[in-house]
Amino acid sequence: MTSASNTSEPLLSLKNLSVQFRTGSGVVRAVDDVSYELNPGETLGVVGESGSGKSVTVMSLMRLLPEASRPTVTGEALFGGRDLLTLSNRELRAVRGSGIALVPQDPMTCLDPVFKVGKQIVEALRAHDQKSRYSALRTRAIELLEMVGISQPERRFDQYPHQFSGGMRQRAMIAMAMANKPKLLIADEPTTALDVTIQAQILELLKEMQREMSIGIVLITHDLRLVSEMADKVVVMYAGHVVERGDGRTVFDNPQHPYTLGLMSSLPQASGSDRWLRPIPGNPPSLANTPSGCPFHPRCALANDRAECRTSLPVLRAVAGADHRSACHFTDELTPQKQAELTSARRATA
Amino acid sequence: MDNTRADSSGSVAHAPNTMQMMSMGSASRRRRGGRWRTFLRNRAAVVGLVILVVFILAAILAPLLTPYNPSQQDLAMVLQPPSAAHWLGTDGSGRDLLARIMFGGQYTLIIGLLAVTLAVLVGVPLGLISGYLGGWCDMIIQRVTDIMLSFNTFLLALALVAVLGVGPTSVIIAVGIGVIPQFIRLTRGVALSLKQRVYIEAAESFGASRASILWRHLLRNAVSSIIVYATLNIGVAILVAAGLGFLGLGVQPPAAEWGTMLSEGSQYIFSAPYVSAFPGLAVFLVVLGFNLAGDGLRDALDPNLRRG
Repeated sequence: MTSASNTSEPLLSLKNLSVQFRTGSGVVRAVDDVSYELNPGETLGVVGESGSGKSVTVMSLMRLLPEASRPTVTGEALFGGRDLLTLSNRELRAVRGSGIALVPQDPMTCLDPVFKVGKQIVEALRAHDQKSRYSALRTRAIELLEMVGISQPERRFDQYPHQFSGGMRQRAMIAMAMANKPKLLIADEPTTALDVTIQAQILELLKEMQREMSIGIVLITHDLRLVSEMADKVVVMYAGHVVERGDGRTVFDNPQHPYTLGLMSSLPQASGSDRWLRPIPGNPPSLANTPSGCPFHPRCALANDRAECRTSLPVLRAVAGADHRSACHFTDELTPQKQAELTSARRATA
Repeated sequence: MDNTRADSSGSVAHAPNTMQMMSMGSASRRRRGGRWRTFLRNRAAVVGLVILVVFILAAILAPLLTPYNPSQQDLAMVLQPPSAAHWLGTDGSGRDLLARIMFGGQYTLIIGLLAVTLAVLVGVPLGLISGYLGGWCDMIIQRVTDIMLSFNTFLLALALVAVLGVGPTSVIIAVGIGVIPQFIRLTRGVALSLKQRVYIEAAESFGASRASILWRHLLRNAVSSIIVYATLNIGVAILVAAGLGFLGLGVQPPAAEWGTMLSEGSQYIFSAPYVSAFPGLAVFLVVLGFNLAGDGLRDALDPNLRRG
């Protein structure tokens, strides 16, 4: 990685970021006291179930949360040393696209159906380049389409989104995101809406972009395996809290939070295992009414209704391994034997 | 606008989409042809279109089609019933009614068209801004719209003519302002629904300015709704303009305008009903034509058929 030279200053640094929404049924704490860092050229995986706050976190730092939901964002989101939350609209627009770019989740709806795909890429270029002539921008847009592996880019430039397949649309979105050479790419479940073979291609493309331009990537996903392949660092979120944080490989090999463990045992095994999938029982809590104490305790296989879990909110504490932290009162109990017991248990007695 | 129709066509939308995916190259041409065919398959819409074409041609070609001067009085030929010489008869001053209706169509169509153009030019930007920006801007624009909507379109136009004075220009302005609130509401709704779309968010995330999102994405996506609504509203505008003419507040005699002609003919309603009946019929047919064609356009351009 090229990050060695400037490890002193992270590319993105969230400090105690919280997001609240005021709704009719009370205050919803979608993100609660979240901190993480990303160095240039690194990939950070943010993992969690739907509603765990992983998307809201990044949307809040891009300041793209819908105003109608009346969000209150507190804390700090430093990007290149500047707090994104205090930028003026004009400064923010300058950062969007050329500093941070977003690859949205659903490629089927993220292109405007009434504009040619090429025109939309030109528009993304134009947002940060008012001087160049259209023909120059067109050439750059065609280069971008070629770069993301779209064949016959000249012809594709003049086509409408409905003439693109899902994978090609996602490629076009990546081309748009890369248009202004951002330093940070936020990919919000970039492969969820695609089929498996295309998923692999898109991930390979993202890695390639990263290698060539040494951009930082925040990869938001619920797929822990994807994170283990892609990410240098992992943040596991549950109910708006960071419950585990650490090195990609370490977290995957030695999960130190029962929720991470639960996520892993609900993954299908590729190599002829006869193990049954073990879903995490119950549903994620309503964020308007999170459980007291540890938000995960009602679903936790380790809690056993202990008083500590019910009453006090665990903080992130260092556990074995480089910069590996977990927010569980009883991480010590997660010995390799216990982990194996919790994950590989065969079919639970139904 | 028309929820039931939008829903039912939404469910049909998948079939043409898959077809388009399969035939990538010619898809856009086929789609355009498909819209035109949808329109032509709608018999009522075709009838409406034919009516409009006939009236538009008659108005444009009036000097070539009729030997009569619409304001030439012939006191020997007063109140003649329809005959071979005067197909629709003559009015109280002996002027040929057919010629007057054909020439009057120029006024009527131009007033309708310009009034709606005015309403589109003012209403569409206000509506889009209101819906997209929200907040106090939306608040102010919508409260003003509420006030305008609380008046009947005709009453509003009437009041405006009273302020602006009579004459074709003030009729255009008055009727145009009268239908502005409809366009504000329409485009605000379109903007509200569009701004939730991922591609608007994506454009924002690339640093596109609000103005460029407004004028590019929102306007382009709203165009088909605006065309449909404008077509329907030309009918309304013509009706209001004719009403003003009837009350003597529109185009002034001796110029031929259908509302004015109706008013002049009304004094002979018992002795020579055709003097007022034919201009009335003309108004009726043209408004019907715009409504039928507008409905057909809505079915053919329905944005629900184009998503995907």
